[in-house]
Amino acid sequence: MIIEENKIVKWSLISVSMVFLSVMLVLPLVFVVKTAFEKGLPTFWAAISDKYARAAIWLTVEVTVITVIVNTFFGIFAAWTITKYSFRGKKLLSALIDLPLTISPIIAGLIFLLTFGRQSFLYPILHDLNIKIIFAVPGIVLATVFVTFPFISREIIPVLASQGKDEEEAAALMGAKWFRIFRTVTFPHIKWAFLYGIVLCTARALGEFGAVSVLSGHLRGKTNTMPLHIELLYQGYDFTGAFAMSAILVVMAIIILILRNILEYRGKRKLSEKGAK
Amino acid sequence: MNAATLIKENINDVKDEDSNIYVELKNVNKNFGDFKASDNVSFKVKKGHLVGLLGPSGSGKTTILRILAGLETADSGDIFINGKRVNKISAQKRGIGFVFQNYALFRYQTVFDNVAFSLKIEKWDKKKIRERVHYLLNLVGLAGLEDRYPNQLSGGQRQRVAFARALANEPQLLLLDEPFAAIDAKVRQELRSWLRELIHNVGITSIFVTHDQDEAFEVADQIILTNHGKIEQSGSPYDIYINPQTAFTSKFIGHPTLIKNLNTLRGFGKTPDNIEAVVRPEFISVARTDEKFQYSASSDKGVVVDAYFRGAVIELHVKVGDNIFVVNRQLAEGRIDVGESVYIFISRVYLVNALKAQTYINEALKQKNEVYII
Ligand SMILES: Nc1ncnc2c1ncn2[C@@H]1O[C@H](COP(=O)(O)OP(=O)(O)OP(=O)(O)O)[C@@H](O)[C@H]1O
Ligand SMILES: [Mg+2]
Repeated sequence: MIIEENKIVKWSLISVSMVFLSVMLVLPLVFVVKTAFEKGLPTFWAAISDKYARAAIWLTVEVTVITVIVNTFFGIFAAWTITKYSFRGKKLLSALIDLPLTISPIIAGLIFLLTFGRQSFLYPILHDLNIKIIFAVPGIVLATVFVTFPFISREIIPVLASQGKDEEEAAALMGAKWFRIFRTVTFPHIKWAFLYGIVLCTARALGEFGAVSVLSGHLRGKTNTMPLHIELLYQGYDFTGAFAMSAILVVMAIIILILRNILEYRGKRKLSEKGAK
Repeated sequence: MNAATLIKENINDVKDEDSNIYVELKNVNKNFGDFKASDNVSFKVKKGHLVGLLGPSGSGKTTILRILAGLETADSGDIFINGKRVNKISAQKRGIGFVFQNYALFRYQTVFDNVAFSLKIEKWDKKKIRERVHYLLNLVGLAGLEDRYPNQLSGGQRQRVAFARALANEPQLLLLDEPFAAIDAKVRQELRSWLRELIHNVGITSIFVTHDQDEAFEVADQIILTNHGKIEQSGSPYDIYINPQTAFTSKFIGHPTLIKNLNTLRGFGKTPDNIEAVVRPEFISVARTDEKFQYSASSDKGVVVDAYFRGAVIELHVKVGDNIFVVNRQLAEGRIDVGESVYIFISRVYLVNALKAQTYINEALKQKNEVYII
């Protein structure tokens, strides 16, 4: 043992962590839920079944689903490309994938605003084609996809990289085509990492505020996602409404957290089974 | 016999020769960056032969195999399989069985599914697949392990699964990359003879990579020797062993020792000064000075400076002039100890220059007026 077991140190460290986590994380969550139900269940129900609230919930779910689907495909493509081929600019591509993690979401929003907004040279073309991106749902989806892009690919890349390409080559030599190789040989390896990536991506997509805020235009019932709706309610001093919506996000977050832990556990177990090799 | 029939027969000969060739590489080059992994590689393999691709680590053996399989594209040169140029044909369509060095079994599939993989791609019907897989698993001695996953098998068993999988859809060409490298010596020995027998029974043209000479000599019908991306020599094991053609071959095969001042030794007086020469233990016989020795008239006297007991043989290091020769003496011939004086007789050496190697037989063994330089 590197650190000598000292009971006092050990327990004081544990208590400090516990207190810190309680104050920082648990207490606020409890407070959110408590405030949401303060005025009784009917008020809570009214707050979340209100027309705009329902629209916000629905939009959030819609955006999240699209985002996860898009990022699943691009995440897998990117991870596959980076790990299975060698080409010029591979390092650059790998670095670009991380860009959304390092850029502030507000700036991400502004980038899209500049790319597709009125100032952009693309705007007349889009306008002629009758495509609305800024202050519309496509803008929100774009922003969310951008912000959550790294989550899936970053989870898969290490697994794919450690696996090498022998199994794929063996499959190819037996006549298997790309998709079959992916489905029967590659995918089982990345399954758990992939699901884990989806969970993280979902969590982030549900809660994304900054980038979406810039691009949404805050049209009630049209382009307001849950986080934007919560802000709106809060600024209108409707605390019950704000906290009721927050409570839903909190519950979703907790469900995701549980899923995350299950996946992590299963993934680890798979890993230790493989370790038997 | 007139000239016309003679020519005709010759043409037939050529045809026969060519139709017997199953694999041919012609002037194949492959660079990784500016590193030459394959340098003008050419060789032919006869149909049904088991060929050993032998060479030191990094000499380009795996590269040759991968080019042949279509996993790597040659920068230039032609690859023929069964008379057809396959450069443009993808790995998927070459119909080659491949056993990877680390087996590359599908980790998340059972033994059954691993072996059945190619059959499913070829859309065999379920019953036929089951029969074929069971036949193969019986063949490789793994019946009953269908439902195991690769990580539940021993190294030797995995090797056999890889082998069964590679054979499943009856490929005409089988490539094996160091198939026994990861297996312990005892099992390796067993698997070697098993593989040789199996391949000859199935009658499939096979090329296997190894850097173990003993393995190559024991198993192969033909040996192709690689070094620095080049083919040094190709031929029957006997030929490679007894007639090394290049400096590398003569120094790589067997356990050669370098000889200084060859022409000071008896029987080699006619060789030029300062020529480089090597000799292998099996070409040296040894006798105590008091023993009756067939070649005593043309043998050199020396002193044993080291002796190692190797079981069946005793390895003696005998100092003669500036040279120390390694000699093996059968245990049954009686022991010789360090410090004893002995006679050694060298029957054959290889003269080496930068490019070529030449066999030189002891003068005492040559008959008058005959040239023995082979
Ligand atoms: N993808 C690659 N990129 C760069 N260099 C490579 C690549 N593959 C092989 N090489 C180089 O080519 C040379 C030949 O490699 P190869 O794998 O064919 O050797 P080998 O004879 O199979 O060696 P070993 O017995 O160690 O397996 C080596 O020096 C290796 O470093
Ligand atoms: Mg190799």
